[in-house]
Amino acid sequence: MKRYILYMMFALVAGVSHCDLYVNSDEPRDYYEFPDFDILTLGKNISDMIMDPQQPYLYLTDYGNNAVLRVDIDGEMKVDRTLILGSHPIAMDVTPDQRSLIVGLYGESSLAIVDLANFTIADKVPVSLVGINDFVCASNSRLFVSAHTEPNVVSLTLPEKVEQDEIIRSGELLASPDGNKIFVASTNILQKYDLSSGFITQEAWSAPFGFQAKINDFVYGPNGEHVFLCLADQDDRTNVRDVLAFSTTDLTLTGNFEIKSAGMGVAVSKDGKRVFVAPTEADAAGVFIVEFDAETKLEKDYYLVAGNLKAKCIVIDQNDQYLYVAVNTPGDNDSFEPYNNNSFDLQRIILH
Amino acid sequence: MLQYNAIVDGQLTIGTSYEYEFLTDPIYGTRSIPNVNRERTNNTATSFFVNYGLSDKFSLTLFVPYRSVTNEKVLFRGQNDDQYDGGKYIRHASGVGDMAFMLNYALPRFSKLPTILLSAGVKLANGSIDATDKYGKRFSDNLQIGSGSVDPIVALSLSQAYHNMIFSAEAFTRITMRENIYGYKYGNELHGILAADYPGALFYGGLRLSYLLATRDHYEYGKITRERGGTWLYLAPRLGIKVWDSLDFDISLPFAVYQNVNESQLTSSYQIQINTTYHLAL
Repeated sequence: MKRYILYMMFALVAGVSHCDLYVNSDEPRDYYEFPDFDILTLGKNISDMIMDPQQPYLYLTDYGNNAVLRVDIDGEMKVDRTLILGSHPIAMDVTPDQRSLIVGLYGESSLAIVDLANFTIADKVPVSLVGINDFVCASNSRLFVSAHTEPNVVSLTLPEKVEQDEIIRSGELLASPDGNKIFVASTNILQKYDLSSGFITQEAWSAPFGFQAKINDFVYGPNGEHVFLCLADQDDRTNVRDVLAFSTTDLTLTGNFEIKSAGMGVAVSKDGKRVFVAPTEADAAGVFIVEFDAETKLEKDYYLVAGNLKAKCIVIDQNDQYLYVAVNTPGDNDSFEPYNNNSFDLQRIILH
Repeated sequence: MLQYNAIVDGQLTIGTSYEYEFLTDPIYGTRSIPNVNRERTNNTATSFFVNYGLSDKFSLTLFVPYRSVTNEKVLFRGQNDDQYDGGKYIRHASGVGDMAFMLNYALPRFSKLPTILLSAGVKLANGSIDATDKYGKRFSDNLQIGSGSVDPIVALSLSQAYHNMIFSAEAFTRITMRENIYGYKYGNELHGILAADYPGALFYGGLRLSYLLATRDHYEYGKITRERGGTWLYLAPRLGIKVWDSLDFDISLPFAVYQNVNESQLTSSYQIQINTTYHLAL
């Protein structure tokens, strides 16, 4: 009898637990996954990131420690080499022949040329500008360098190290793969210059932004049809809530990728079909990289990251398998300890 | 609350219990996931209960919890408009939680059959559901100390002595009847407990297996709440001492053996429960 009563008790709990009162009638949709974070702890103030075009290396400028880090991304991420370059590296570009990494130094008016084959400093080129913010390699021997303090860029010819003032406005710079076009995102407009004739002429310009913009990132689309621009309005953070795409032909607006806050960075897959946008702000559940369909401009996927993101610090690997982003994880920047406010790590994200 | 389902005519039982839980491990379903906001919640409940035997069949129980809930996390940039740059963010609520009244009925006992106790009652809606953060904004319902709904509670328990042990089983449910004033409705809960106890003269103790099934909450009068509800299984060793004939003291350490939550939720790998019970014949 006792046994039967116990059986009845079990049956009661088991039966009741399956009645409607204890069954969820509907399930919400899952929009994102919770993968284990793959993070290389660095604790550095990373100012730029660039992928080696041939080798499994990622290069990071360590602004606070005047260095470039070479991160081996084959297997477990690890800092392979650290190269001290000079004061405050701010921007990087790879020469079209893919042999050299050039690093702009904000703190000492020069560019450092790094031989990618052996990761050593091959040369250092002085520039007359103070406060370099960006540069671009139009060819293996011709660079355009911009500084916040100057209205126009200068060009550098290598290896002669000849500097020349140009009519191109200062700003964030891009070059077309053939080196014949230069794109400039300045504080209020986007402009395109033609170099093919031997003389520099302004070819197109966008509609003005309508406010003094901070350029967080400026990316040339891999299929050559679009440039992607991440703007921020420092006077009104609610003003910009999207990333813009412009036609490389006439700089008309071709896309608007809404992310509810200013874009910090953008990366595009090699086929140009997938656009990954790093937002400035988190949503209630965390910080997400948002993937858009380049054609429909609609959100397609979401990737949770470990912390706040950094301007220019999102890149995609050569095989479109992984995204790499600089993340500032919470909890390490709420005190007065030195160097704790720009403590970025490197996160690798597997693309779906 | 009623040890081994005993109802004694004219006996007043007064007890206190303290429960502590530190939720800091997020899981998704059954899988551990990163705690992106470094979030953690301290839950404590100091409860006072009184049970009075109206006869040898009926008793009344009043249960009054004092709850304290503290949730801490580190916000990201833009995650809260009042604290745009992010940083540490604390939400805290404390006070008297929802009280419960129960009427207990001991079924007539036949020899060699288990003692069977039926209980029914209500959980009141007296606990505050209006706690706000430091910016004056009311925060999530699941961090409030009250539910805002008067709900029925039904329990069935049985116990049986066998050699020097007492074996017991209990089923307990709370059915949420309606939304609170903010349109939030908690899910229903079903608890099941299996226990084996050694009722020693000075020391007593045992092992308890607890099962909890909670359905999803709903907000805004019917929308499904994410990250609420699930299934938990705890195993709890318990050790007690009879300080005096009429005063018992025991401590229990439930630790999670299985947790399967809806979406991602903070969980705790263990709890601490400390109970005192005083029996008084009136």
